Amino acid sequence: MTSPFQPSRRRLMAGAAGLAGLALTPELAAAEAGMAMAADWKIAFADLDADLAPRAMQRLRGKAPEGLAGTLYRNGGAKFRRPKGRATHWFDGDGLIRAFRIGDGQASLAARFVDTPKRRADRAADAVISGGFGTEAGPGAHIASPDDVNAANISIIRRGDTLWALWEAGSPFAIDPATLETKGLVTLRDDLAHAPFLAHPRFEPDGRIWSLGQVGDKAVVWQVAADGALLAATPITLPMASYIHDFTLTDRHLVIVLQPWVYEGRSVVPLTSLKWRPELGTQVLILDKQDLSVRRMVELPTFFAFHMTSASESAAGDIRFGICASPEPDFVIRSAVDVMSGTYTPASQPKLALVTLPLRGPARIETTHVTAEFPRTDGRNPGLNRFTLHATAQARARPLFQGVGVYDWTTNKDAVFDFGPDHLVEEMVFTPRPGSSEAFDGWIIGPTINLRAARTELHVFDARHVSDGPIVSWAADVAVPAGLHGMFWRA
Amino acid sequence: MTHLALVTAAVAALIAGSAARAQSADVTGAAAAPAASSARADLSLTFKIRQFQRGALMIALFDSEAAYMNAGQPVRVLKLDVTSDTVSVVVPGLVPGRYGLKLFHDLNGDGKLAMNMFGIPTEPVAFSNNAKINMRAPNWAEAGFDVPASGAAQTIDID
Repeated sequence: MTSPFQPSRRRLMAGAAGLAGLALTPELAAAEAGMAMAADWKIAFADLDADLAPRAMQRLRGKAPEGLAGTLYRNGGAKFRRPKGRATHWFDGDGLIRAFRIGDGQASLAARFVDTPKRRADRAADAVISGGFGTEAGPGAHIASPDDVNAANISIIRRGDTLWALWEAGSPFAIDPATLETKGLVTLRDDLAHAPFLAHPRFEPDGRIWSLGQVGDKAVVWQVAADGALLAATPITLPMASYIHDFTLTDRHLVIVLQPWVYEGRSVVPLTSLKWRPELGTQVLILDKQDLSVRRMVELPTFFAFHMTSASESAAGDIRFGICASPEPDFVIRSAVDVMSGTYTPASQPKLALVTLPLRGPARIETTHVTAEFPRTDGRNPGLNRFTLHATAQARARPLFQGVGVYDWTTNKDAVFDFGPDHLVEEMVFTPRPGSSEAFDGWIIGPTINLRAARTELHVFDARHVSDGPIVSWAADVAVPAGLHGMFWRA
Repeated sequence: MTHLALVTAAVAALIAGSAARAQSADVTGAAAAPAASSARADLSLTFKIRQFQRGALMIALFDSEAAYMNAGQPVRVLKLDVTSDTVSVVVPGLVPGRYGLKLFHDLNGDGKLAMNMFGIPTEPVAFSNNAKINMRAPNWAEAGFDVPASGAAQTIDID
């Protein structure tokens, strides 16, 4: 199909207007001078040196659909390098909250860094001294708790009338939805201050969330009400000290995938203390939501995954969910380090797979041919929804993705829109058409970084016709470094 | 962040151990048996409270590396009520030598360093020389300071 996103013939000179908003420090500019800035993809992993005041986005094509109004909030690291020291892993940038506001056919963009102790300490030191997921702490760091190095950079959710910026090894940060100002650390109970809270809580239909907080083989199971009040915090022990980024649940059970990337050794930097032990297989811990001490374990063949969908459980107790599975964690171990120095290291591509955990009999994982990451669903109904929205089409010669896919679990077909190599596609989310109740009747919304034009763009698709391409697109005057996860807050 | 949590938990244990000993000592400042020398020095302490102007600072002063590093017997223990952003006290009559100080801000009034279920301190902690916790609690070389016969002063930030 012809794509309106064919690469432009205009070659953008590096360092020119397209990099407005990405102020390279003098030291970094000097270091980069010899390196080829023609590798446009590096702008997705560059530094934003200041907040972005709200600015109108320019409509490129199409028309905003009637009834679409609200704000797409997103999170992701956007400051990695300082004159005297830098983060060495993509997961260790300062969290930047992005707000794409859509209304009256128009869109605007604002972005504001989360005001964390980490950011303050790094700024004062003029170096990234706060150790992180893959970055060693620098001299002068003062780390009395994980919240001293909390980058608040992975996702953002709504609780009550406020937002929580989530990391995974420390507390949420409360964020003002209108101004994006940081309101402070969220302490759910005084004796649980500084406890970890995953970036991927799971939602119940009444707005309650479950989350986990993990330290090695110990975890806390959180339940938080829609208004942010703590409902329960239950300690559990994990049978394997796996790296946990996401988990899933059914109406009856919590389902925790324990992959054989396990904490060992003495380093405080997870990337260094995590060891890949494929011989252990991937285990799944299933907990009874009514009584978390009631549990069972199933074994799966070895795989690694960051993200999964919510899970369905039949009356007979068989559990099914989708997962984006890779043979090993090579992206996070190698590629996510190399992108920080502008090098592309190909890694195994995550594939959408179906995990089936029968109540009796062997568990299995069935992998599709579909490259998939950042899976999202309609979300209004629990369980494994018919459609899974995901990033797809791994780009050649540079990291991450260039396409949006919608996988239909009933037909096993993937509807795809491929933006082409000039666009780095970020996570897209679904929002329902107001008043609709049919599954996946609504819109897909999310940004791309137009690497050739060096700007962030916002796109809206008809969710049921994603392969037709966006029905409206807007462009910002700046390229915001690639983010991770977000949500759409309907007006 | 597994092992970061284990490090900060170890820090908490170090302070909690000292605090436990402090609880059982005379909190007005039990003096060590006087040594043969008659030289005595005053240690002037100023604490800058950055956030919580309430509760009390629970302070343990050690006169040896062994006591400091292994939660041994402090030579002085102090409990200072916090009602403003600065708390000062003079510890008199110290034998000149090298000392190290550990403290926590007891916000909930239970006299113990509060920790979460992962062993991470949930009350503020601080050390002499404003020594930093980075991978591990500050050691004797980092937190140690001299108290000569003419006296010494320490200003420590907490919260």
